[in-house]
Order: sequence, then C-alpha cells, then structure tokens
Amino acid sequence: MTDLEDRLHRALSAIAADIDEPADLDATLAAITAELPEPVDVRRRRRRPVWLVAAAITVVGLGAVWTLAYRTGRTPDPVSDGRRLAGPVTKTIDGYGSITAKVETDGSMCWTAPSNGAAAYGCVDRATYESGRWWTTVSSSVGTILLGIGPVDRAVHVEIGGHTITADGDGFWWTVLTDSDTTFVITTTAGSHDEQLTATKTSPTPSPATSSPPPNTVVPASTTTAPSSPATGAVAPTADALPDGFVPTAAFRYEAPATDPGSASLRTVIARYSTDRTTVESEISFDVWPALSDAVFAEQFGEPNDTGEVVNGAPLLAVPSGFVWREPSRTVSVARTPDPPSAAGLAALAASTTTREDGAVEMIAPPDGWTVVESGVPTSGPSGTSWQIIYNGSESTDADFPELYIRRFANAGEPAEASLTMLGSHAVEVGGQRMIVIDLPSLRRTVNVVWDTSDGGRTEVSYRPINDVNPIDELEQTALRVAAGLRPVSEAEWAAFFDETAANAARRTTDAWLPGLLAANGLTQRGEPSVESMPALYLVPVTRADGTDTTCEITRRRLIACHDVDTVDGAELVDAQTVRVATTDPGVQHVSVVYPDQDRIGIGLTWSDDGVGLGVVIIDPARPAPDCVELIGSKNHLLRTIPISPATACTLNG
Amino acid sequence: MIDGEVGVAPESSFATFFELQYSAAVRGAYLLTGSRTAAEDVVQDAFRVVWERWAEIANPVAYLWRSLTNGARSWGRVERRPARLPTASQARGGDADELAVRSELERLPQAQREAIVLRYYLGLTDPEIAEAMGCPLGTAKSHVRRGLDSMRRALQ
Repeated sequence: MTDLEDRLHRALSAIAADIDEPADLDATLAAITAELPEPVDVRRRRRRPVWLVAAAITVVGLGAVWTLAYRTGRTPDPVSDGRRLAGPVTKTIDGYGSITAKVETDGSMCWTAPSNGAAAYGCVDRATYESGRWWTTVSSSVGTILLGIGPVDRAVHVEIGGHTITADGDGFWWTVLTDSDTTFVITTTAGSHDEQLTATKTSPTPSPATSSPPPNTVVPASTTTAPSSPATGAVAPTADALPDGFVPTAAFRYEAPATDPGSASLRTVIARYSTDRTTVESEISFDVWPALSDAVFAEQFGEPNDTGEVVNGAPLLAVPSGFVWREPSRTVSVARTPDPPSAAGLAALAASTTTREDGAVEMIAPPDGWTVVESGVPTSGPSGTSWQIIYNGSESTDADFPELYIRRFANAGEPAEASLTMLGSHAVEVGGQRMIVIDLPSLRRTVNVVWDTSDGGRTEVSYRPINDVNPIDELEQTALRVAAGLRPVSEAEWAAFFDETAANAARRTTDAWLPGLLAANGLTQRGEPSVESMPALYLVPVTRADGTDTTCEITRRRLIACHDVDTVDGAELVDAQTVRVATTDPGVQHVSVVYPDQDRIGIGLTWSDDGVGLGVVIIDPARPAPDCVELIGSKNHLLRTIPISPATACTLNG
Repeated sequence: MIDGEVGVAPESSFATFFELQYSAAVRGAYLLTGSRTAAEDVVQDAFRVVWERWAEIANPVAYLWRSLTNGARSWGRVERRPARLPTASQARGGDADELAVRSELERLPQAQREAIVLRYYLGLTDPEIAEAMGCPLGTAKSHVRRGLDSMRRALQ
C-alpha cells in the first residue's frame, strides 16, 4: 500500500468512526430475521467457515491487515521467533520514498513501495523470505531500484556492478540499478554455510535466473506486482500534438502482477485550465496497455461498440468510460472529463426560479427530462432554516447522473459577495441581478451561483455534470489527435515527463492576481509563494516600498498579515472574519478554531521556511467570536488549547 | 467457529456472519450515503436480502456488499439526495487528510465513491468490487483508478 493509499485508508476509517460501534446487535438481528421466514434449506455442501470467507476477501497484502484488524479489533501479530521482522519496517530512500515490509501471520513477507505515483506491492512466501535469496525491482523517477529483504539471522550480501551491498539489521538491502547492472549475485550466510543465487536483470522484463533454490515468488491476485523493467511501453504525447491550452498534468505507471497483465498500464493525463488556471476546464487521460488478448480485453472493456472511425489503423470502439482501440503492439483507452458547464447558462437558469409559499426555491420550468428527486423539506441548522430542491438530469446512467441543487438559506450570513475573494470566483449579471459564480477547482467541476436576496437570505444553485457519458464529440476528437501523437520514450524521458507533469499540476492554481493585490498594498513580489492548506494560504516573499523585505500571508485574495519572522505561538482575531494561528510546534498536524458553542472549524497549516505553521480561518462574523484554538497532532490527538487573542482564556478550559 | 457442514442451523451461521460484518457494513454504508440513519436502513435491508437467500448464496460476503451498494445507490438516487458527509466541524475536528477526503469523497461520481470505499475502506479486491458494483472488472478497475487519481490530488 502506498503512502497515498495508507493516508486514504486512515482518513476513510476516521470518517467512518463518526459511526459508533453498534450497541445492540441482537435486537437488530432479531428485527431482520423476524420479518422473514427462516431459510428452509441448510447448505448441504462443505464450505469454509464464515470467518474465513470474511477474512479471505480482505487478506490481501498490507492493506488487508488493516482491514482485518478493523474488523476483528486487533492487528494480527506477526510471527516473531527472533529471525523475522518483529513488525512493519519502513525504509526511506532519499529522493525516492519509503518502502515498508512486514511479515504476515503465515510467515510470508509483503512489501509495498511507491512506483511513479502508483502502488507497487509484492509478497513472497515464507520459504522464499527465509531463504533471503530473492529480489525484485521497482521503477521510479530516480531509476530502477533493486531490493530484497531477508531474515534477520542470515547475513545477506549482494554483489553487483563491482561492489557489494550488505543487508542492514532488518535484513533489508537495495541499490539503484545502472544500465550496466544486469547480473548480480545474492549470497546468504547462515553459520558457516553459504548459499548463492545468481540473477540477471534483462530488458524489457527481468526474469531471475536462479541457482537452487528457485525464488518462487508468490503473486497473489490483484495485490502484487511482478518485477517490471522501466519504460516498457512508456509513451508521452508529442508537444505539437497537444491542442492549444492543454498541458500534461499527470503520469502514472500502474504495475501489474503476472497473473493479471490486463491491469498494467501507463497513464498520461493532459488538462486545459481556465484562463487564470484555477479550474480544470477539460481533462483527458490515456491508458496505454500491452496488446491485450481477446479474453483480457473482453474482461476489461466488455463488448464495446464500433464507432466507424479509425485511429492508427485500428477501429475506434466506444466504451462507457470513453473509447478504446487495439493496435498490434498496444491497446489504448481514452477517457475524458465532461464538458464544463456554462456558468452564464447556469446563472440564467438560476434566474428562472421562483420562491414557493413554503420558502423553498424551485425552477419555474425544469429542462426537459429533469426530475425532482428531493423537494425542499425545510431543515434547521446553525444559520437558520434552509430548503433544498434537487433535480436529476435525463442523462442518468447506472453509474452517474447530472445533478442540480437549489438551496435557499433564510439567513445569508457572510455576504455572497465575499465569495469573490475565493479562488476562481467571479460575478455575472443576469436580469439585473448580480450573481457570484464559484468554480470549485475540483476534477469533477461543480459550478455554483450564489446571490443574496432582499429578505436577508441567500440562494445557491449548484450543478454537477454527469461524469460517465462520453459521446464522440469535439473534445474526443482532440483526444484522438493527441493519442495519435503519443511516442515511445525512454526511462529518462519518462522521468523528465513525470517531473514536467508534476510542475504543470502544481501551477494550476495560478497567482496571476497576486501582483495586483501586492501592488495595491505597496508591495513587490520577490519570490515564489508557498501555497498549502485548505483553503489555500499563501506565504509570499515581498519587498516593501521602503526596500525592506518581509513575508506576507494571503488567503482568499486577502492580505492577512506581513511579518518578518514570526516565531511566537498564538492565535489572534485579526478582524471580525479572520482568525490567524501560528505555531512552531512541528507536531501540530492541523488546528481547530472553536466557537463558544463548541462548534469547530478545522484547517491544515502552511509551513514557512522558518518552521512556522500558519493557518488563517475565515469565521462567521454574525456569530459570537471563537475564543479558543485546539492544536491537534497525529491521530487526532489534542496537543493543547490556546486562547484567541484578545481573549486570555478558553471557555473550553472552564 | 462456524462450519457450514450438514446439520448446522442456518440462523446460527447467519448470526455469526451478521456479528462479524455488521459494524463494517454500517460504516461502509455511511461513507456511501453520508447519513447514519440511511446507513443503518441500507445495511438492515442488505442483511435482510442476504438472510432471505442465505440457503442459496455461495458467497454471502460478496452478496452483502452487492446488496449494500445497490441499496446505497437507490437511497441516494430516489429518496434523499445528496450523499453528503457531515463536515469535520459538524462532526468533530479532523486532520487535514480527513478534511480533504470528506470533501473529495462528496465530489466523486457515485461509482468512483463506491469503488474507493469498497477498496480502501472495506478492503475488497478488484473482482470483488466488480461483483459488488455489478459491473465488468475493467470498469471497476477504472473507477478505482480514477477515484484514486482524484484522491491523490486532493491529498497533495
């Protein structure tokens, strides 16, 4: 499991923990079984114990251990007999990332490692692990890494390229392969007895040539990766094939186990951002697979429809996610995000609404095929009563459907105009009504139109387009053009391309508005801003009009503060809408600003080069001002509570 | 321990199955629906379907997830849209990853949301996800990948 997947798993588990453990299972069970007659037929065949069935679907590498642990309430202890790893061991390789290995309860050993942004897993059985004579490779931006993990009671030496690598105290060894490193010898020593494995890395697919015993690598379905060489089939789009405005934004290599070759692919993503680069307007992804067999192709894509078009000499086939074609040496699939909704069109739609007697706002005449799926039952919340009506579009599929929300809030709270300070916002005027358009910079673009009403309320219209319907249209013609321009690249070119995509993706939130804001405050930018946290807090190196340098904090296009060096922990009420938090404690993961009624707003921090974590929280000026900040460390552990100046104490502590 | 040999009463094996799966099922359904009440309803309906066919189905776990996914989908589509998770401030403080995942999970298309929950919360394999979602294996993989790509960016 990669770091990303680990974080995702933990975050999902944390969210799921909103639900307490069930209190009375017996009553629930009784309610279920009492309503139906008892099944009359006891299964007459032997089957595995249910608990094994449950475990079997989850015991798949490292991630499975966590899942199983969750379900059983404990983490299975690895077998520990003094020869094996006593628990998970993580090794960090500079410039590459972390590799984690763990001995499972059955004595097998599994490892996980990042591989060009994708996951790479592997397991070897107990005998292979304990022999110490096995190896695998992981490709990455720093090259191909050769690694192995052996039992701790066995000395392992690897001779390669004229030098010798010795396993560390955990039995872990690794090296970055060079082009000339094709043969290596793994020697294990137990007592006075040496055993050797001579292995050869060949291109394109390394296949260990073994002496006794064979490495016997275990490849559980769906969870492991076979050793793979770098750049096998890697492609990148040629620059002249990119339409205007499109830039490569991501590149992934998906490793595949030998038992599941259909899951290997290289993905390239190109995107076109909005003018200020705050929003993805269009995105196209290409998956390049090895030439798939008919069986694997059918498994992956079902029975696609022939569009009648041809690309690179192959028929273009439509599939639910986009389309695919099969060339002699490769299979290429293309998917795209939907056309962006028209903000002006949405605003016009929003203008064609009316307020019902019960307070809800609805469309006077929904577009053809749109149906109401929720009809505005009033609900009470912190900002008063609100009503919501939800429509589904006619393009609904089993997987997705376009959605339109109309919400009316009795109390506007922060003026809609304040939304203009958010990234990507702008205003439009429809029928004399000024409306604020908020483009959420999400891959699934959602457009929101918000306006205040004369009665002190607010109306908000949100549109989320369908995501899984991809008619052959102009954008897909663009995709075809790019696909036809894909060219094979070497591993070095792939690595460079990977870096280029990362840089492009990082620049999507442009600071085009920044110079103007700084100039209005007599400041000149003198370096690249640091941008972290959610919502984004900019730390911008600037020069004042008098020539002195400082660093300014900006969020939602508002200048919050400029400080030379801020090394004081604390929280302050900057104004009626803003709380600023600074901490030098590197253990702080995030902070929560706490209102007197105990409601909380949590945000992440932006860390300065000076090691100061900064956060700016936009608060509701209509509510009693928050007076406390909770500094929270890993695993949601509350580190301490501090008052928000000018308060001197927290009500939390009272 | 339950063994499904001849003579084991169905209600006892179902009870154990229920006990082992209920908590994870409710929490998984909560991630799909964003509502505790809905999650409990969906899960009880799913277990009810499993119980009804307990004597026939070969893989009750897969059948449960299939029923649960369908139930969450139906709930979201027909009754009480949208599938919104409480924000961290509504629920409790959450770390930055949790905040980002709450937000992104809400934005994901339903199919990707299902795939992400089934894979990274419930720990299902690709074939099991395909079975639970009632779609071809390749489609399930695509949903997982695309969902993960979105999560990757959200967690950057």
